[in-house]
Formats: sequence, structure tokens, C-alpha cells
Amino acid sequence: MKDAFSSYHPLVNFSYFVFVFAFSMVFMYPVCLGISLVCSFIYSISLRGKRAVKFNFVFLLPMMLVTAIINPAFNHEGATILMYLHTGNPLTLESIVYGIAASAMLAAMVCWFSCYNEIMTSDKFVYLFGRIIPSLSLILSMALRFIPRFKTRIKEVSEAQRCIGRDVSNGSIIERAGHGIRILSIMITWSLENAIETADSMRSRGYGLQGRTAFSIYKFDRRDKKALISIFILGMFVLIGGILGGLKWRYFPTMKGASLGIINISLWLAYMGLCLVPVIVHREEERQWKATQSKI
Amino acid sequence: MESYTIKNLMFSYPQQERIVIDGVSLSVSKGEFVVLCGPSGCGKTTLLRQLKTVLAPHGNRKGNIFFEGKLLDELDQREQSSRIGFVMQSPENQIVTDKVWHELAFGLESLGYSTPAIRLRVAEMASFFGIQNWFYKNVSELSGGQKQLLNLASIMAMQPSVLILDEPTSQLDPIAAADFLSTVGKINRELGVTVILTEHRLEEAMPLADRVLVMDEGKIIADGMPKEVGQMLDRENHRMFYAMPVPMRVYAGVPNNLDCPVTVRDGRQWLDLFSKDHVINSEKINSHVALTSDISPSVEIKEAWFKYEKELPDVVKGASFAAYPGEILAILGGNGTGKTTTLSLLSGLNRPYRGKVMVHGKEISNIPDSEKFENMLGVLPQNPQSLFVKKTVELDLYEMLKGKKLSKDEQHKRVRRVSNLCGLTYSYCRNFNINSNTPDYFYRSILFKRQKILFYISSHYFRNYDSFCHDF
Repeated sequence: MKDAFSSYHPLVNFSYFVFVFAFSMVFMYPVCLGISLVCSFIYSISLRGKRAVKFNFVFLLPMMLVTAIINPAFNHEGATILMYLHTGNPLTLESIVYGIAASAMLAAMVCWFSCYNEIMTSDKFVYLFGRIIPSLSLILSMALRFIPRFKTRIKEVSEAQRCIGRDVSNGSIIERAGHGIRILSIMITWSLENAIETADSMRSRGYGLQGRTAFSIYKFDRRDKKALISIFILGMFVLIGGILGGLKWRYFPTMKGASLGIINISLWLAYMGLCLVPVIVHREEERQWKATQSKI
Repeated sequence: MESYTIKNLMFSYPQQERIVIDGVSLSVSKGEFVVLCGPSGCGKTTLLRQLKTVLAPHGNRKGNIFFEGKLLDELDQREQSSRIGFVMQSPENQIVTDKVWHELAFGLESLGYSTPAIRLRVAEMASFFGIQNWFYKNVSELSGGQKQLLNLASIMAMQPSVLILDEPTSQLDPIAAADFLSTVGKINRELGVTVILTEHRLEEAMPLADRVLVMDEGKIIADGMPKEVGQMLDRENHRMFYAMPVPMRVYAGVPNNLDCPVTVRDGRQWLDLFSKDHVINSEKINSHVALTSDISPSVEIKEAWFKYEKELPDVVKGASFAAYPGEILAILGGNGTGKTTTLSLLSGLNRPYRGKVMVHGKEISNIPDSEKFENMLGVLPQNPQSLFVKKTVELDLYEMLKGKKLSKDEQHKRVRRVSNLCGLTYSYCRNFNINSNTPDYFYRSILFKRQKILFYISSHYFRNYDSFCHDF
């Protein structure tokens, strides 16, 4: 089944990712890092299935391991000395922990970005930023149309040129360069020529008239409002808690963090809740669907 | 009421003496389906573009055009945009945005409609044209036929009262073209929109038309119902007669007083009626005798299999055939059946993973490109623009010979030979090659090299391929 969260309004999707990216980068509190990493794994697997499992465990975990090992080899800060390396440098507990923390952050960020790519497709992005500058959304949309077209066309031209012995794969190096320039020249002429027709088509559909509006297929529903409000409440709660020092953690010279308490634990829970919003939304919609089916 | 009334329209391009539109007067009534036809370069496109002033080319214009009783020049751009729809040739170039839904909304956005209003209209058009299944797709994923349908739909979303189509199917395959034309017919019938269409596929367009106009050298030479026009052209022995649907041509070839058929159905009925009081000589024409096997084939493909990527399905599945010297071999098939891919195997652009391709008894992968494309094979790409470099045809012809060790005389001789062969006159050669008729003369650059074998892809692009085959 397609992810339910992706069907929400782009604004909801985008604000979720803004919070998650910011918190994952800023909070070095070990529990927070753990939450971020685990949640990103859960979400990416629920989104991309087998591919994500493969990517996370074959690529991300080894990468984490390597970064975790590299840090104590070069970083010798910290007060708790475990042993001395054969270079004479100390191996400290703090540097090991910091290495693990940094690698967890890195892996979580990579994983979050893979989710972001899946959810925030180009049209959502164009829509959001087109709101700020309306003409930009049209330019972006036209650019996104132009690039794949240019790519297929370059292939077409170079094949046609190859058939008259004038491709970049024919002749000496200088000839090849000449052929390359020739292909480029054809491409530019071609694009300009076609642009005339595109301009005609735009003008004949009234482009340039006063009072152009920007249409989008996205609707801001009640469920979007609910989701956006919950994301904001959770996000602001974690943010304020973080600013007030509830998620502070010091690695060097000795490790020290905010003391355990109800407020801290509630912050962790809120953070976890925030990270899991898409998964919860998805499960909820699935449950709802099943419930309505069984009533029939 | 009249959609258009044209009174004595004259037009010529700046700095050119030739008059492109020469005293055209006509009127098109509301809800009429008019097909405008004529040989290439007769002024069809120029005339159509005069009907929507934002698209009209610069030049000297005399005469008046009235749109729904008002002078067309007095119609402001807003009204013109929404009420006169114009579909052009290229499916690709008319599309502006990257998403299907955005393209549908483009015109309405320009006119400044609110989002709910646009949503309603877009939804309506998507259902009318059967776009709902690919509504969320990227434009780049669509086929040519779908793209042209999208262009039509995005214009219809503005609810025009007149729809003008300038050779809309010239770049589509026959099946997509037939679909497209039947959709245009549906718009005319169900929405009552006036349609003015220029078309080369008269076989499909004629049965839809209420009225046919034939243009030549800037003048309207015939005007009437499809069957009348056919008879008129036949009487005058005009060359456009050969573009008429087959039933009309058969009819004209037989002296009789019956009604002229337009469709195949009418043609069969006519034939039944005709055969009642005439004896039909059922002598068969011997079919073409296949060349005997004692000549060795020029090109041979043996059980070739090909796919583009390992995981993708096979595109060519065990194709085997041979082409002999002097033979014209046609590969037919609908869209996506692997015709182009088979040609790419024959020309060595792609290599089959199983099977063989032989050219003159040699395996193609063993022949270096320089030798292969010098005087062995010529490949015509689907789109002529992928070969042009210079701004005139003549310069382009010489460009092809650049880098060859040939004397000036020899170069001139070759250029002349090819231009004669392809029917390019001197003045034609001086023309800019940015022209809607490009395909007609672009095969010359390939012919230059005196190839033994020539491939061309998607010949539906070529209008006068008959003459081409003869010359070759």
C-alpha cells in the first residue's frame, strides 16, 4: 500500500521533515540519537520495504561502524583513559562514545533523506516554493520538463550523427571534439527552434495576461490541519525543552547530561512521537480501512 | 451565425514578393467541421495563423477577418485566448509544464481563474478525454499520441468556441492519429465546437468533415462537401486528387453516374450497386515475385534477440529476415512493437544478445563505423532536426562533405546530383531549413554518400515517399 503520509498536504510533509532534520542534527543527547536512528530505520523500511532493509543493513550499518572506529583513532580528548595506543596516544571512553554518537547521527540523517526523497516529490517542492514566488513555480516546472527532454534528445542526435560517422565515438581526438561541438550546436539550435513553438503555445493560451493565478491539486483538509497541529505541538515542545537544556549532553572532558526526570522522559517521548508521526498515520489509516471493511 | 468570415484576404511575408494568401474569401458557420487541405507550401498554415492574431506572422496583410461578427483585430487577447483554440503540429513542443495536471490548468491559470474553478474544469476535461489514468504522470512518460491529446485537452479546458488544428497528426503513428481525429470529431459533435483542420490523412479526416476546402498557391480552388470536392478535383485533373481517400479515387477511375463514396463502407455499397448493371473484369494482377535465392542478401538478420536492460523484457524476439539488392522492404507494426529497435540492430547501433546481423555477408559488429556508414549503410533518423547544422539547405549539403578529400568540382557535382535526385530546386536550397516541410528534403544528406542500403525509421513522416522510392 502507498504510504498514507505522502498523501497529506505538502506543507505537512515539509514541516515534519524540517523538524526531524533539525532535531537530528542538533540534539547530541544519546537517547535522542537512538530515537532518531531507530525511527528513521522504521520509517524507511515501512516506506521502501526490502530495498530499505538492504540499504540500511548492508550500507548504513557498516558505514556507522567505520566512522565509530575512526573517531577514537584520531580523537584523544576525554578524561577516562582506557589504554594507550601503540603510537603513545590515549584511547578514551569519551572519544569512543562520541564516535558512536556521531556515526549514529550520520546514519540517521542519510536514512531520513532517503525518506524525504520518497515523500517530497518535485511537484510538492515546486508547489511549496511557488507559493512564496509564484513565477518561480512555473519556471521550476518548465525546467523539470526541459531536462529529461534534453537528455533523450541528445541521445537521439548523437545516434543520428553516429550513422553518418560523426559521433563523439568516431575519429581522432580532435575530430571527436569537433563532433561533440557539432552535436552541441545542433542541440542548441534545436532547443531554440522548439522554444519558439512553445512560446507560441503559451501565448495562444493567454500567457502574459494580467492576473495569472497558480493552480495546485493539493487541498488542505481537516486531517491535514490535525496532522500539522500535532506536528507543531510535538515539535515546539521538544524545541522549547531543548532550548531550556532538557536534552543537553556533554561529551568532553567527561560525559555529563541533563538529569533524569519526568520532564526529560516526556521530552524523549514527544521526540519519538514526532519521528513516528508518518508511521502512526499510516497504521491508523490502515486500521480505519480494515474497520470499515469489517462492518460491511 | 458565422464563426469566421474572411473577406478578400491577401498576405505576403516581409521582403518577399511571393503572395502566400491570394484573395481568400470564405465563411465558416458555427458548429461546422471544415477540413482544409492542399499540397505542402500552399499557404494552409499561414491562413490558419491569420485566424488567431497572437500567432499571426508579420507581413503585409490586406482584407478583413471577422470573428463571430466582430472584427478579429478588435478582439482583445483575453477573449482570443479563451475562445479560439489552436493546436499545432508538434506534440512535444506545445507542452509547457512537467505534469499532466499542470498542463491542463495552464491556460486557465493564465486567464486568472480561481483554484476551485480550475479544479472543476480540469476534472471535466480529464474525464472527457480519458486522461484520468495518467493525470498525475510526468509529461515525459507519455507517448506521442497521449501528448497531442493532452495539448487538445488543455486547450479545450478553456472552452473555446472555435478549434483550429494545424496538421495535428503529422507526427503521430497511424493508430494514434486515428484516435486523435475521432476525438476531434467527438468534440465537434458533442460540444458543438467549430473545427477547422488541416490534414494530410484525408482518409480519416474526410468522413468527419462537413465541408472540404482545397488550397493551392494561396487560393481556394475547391470548396464543398467531401464528395463534391473529390469530383471537382478529378474534373480539373488536379494533383491533390491523389491525396483523396481510396474509394473516391476508385470511383473517379470508373465512368458512372452514381454518388461519390467517401468512406470504405460507402465504397463497398457503391461497388455493389455498380456491379449490378456492369460486368466486372476479375483479372488478377500477379503479385510481386520474390527475388530468388541465388542473389546474396544485402542485409540479413538471423534470430536476433534484444533487450535494453537485463531486467527489462525482450524487445526483439527472434527476428529473422533478409533484404536483397534493389528491394524495398517495409517493416510494419503499431507503436512499441520493436520496429525502431530492429532497425537499430540492423544499423549496428545496438547489438543483439543472441543471433546475428550480417551486411554483405559480414557480421556487422566486425565492420568499423567509419567503413560502415561511409558507403554501406545510411540511416535516416526519425526527426530531421537531428542532422541539421547550418542555416540553409545548401550549406548543410556542403557541410556533409567537409573533411572528405574531394575537389571543389567533385563537391559541386555531388551536391547537384543529390539535389536533382530529391527534387530540390536552387531556390529551395537557399531556403532556411526551419520549415514545417523539413522531412521532405532532409534525406539528401544521407544519400550523399552513395550508400548501398538505406534504412528509414517511421516513414509515416514522409509524405512523398513514393517519389523517393522511385528515384532511389
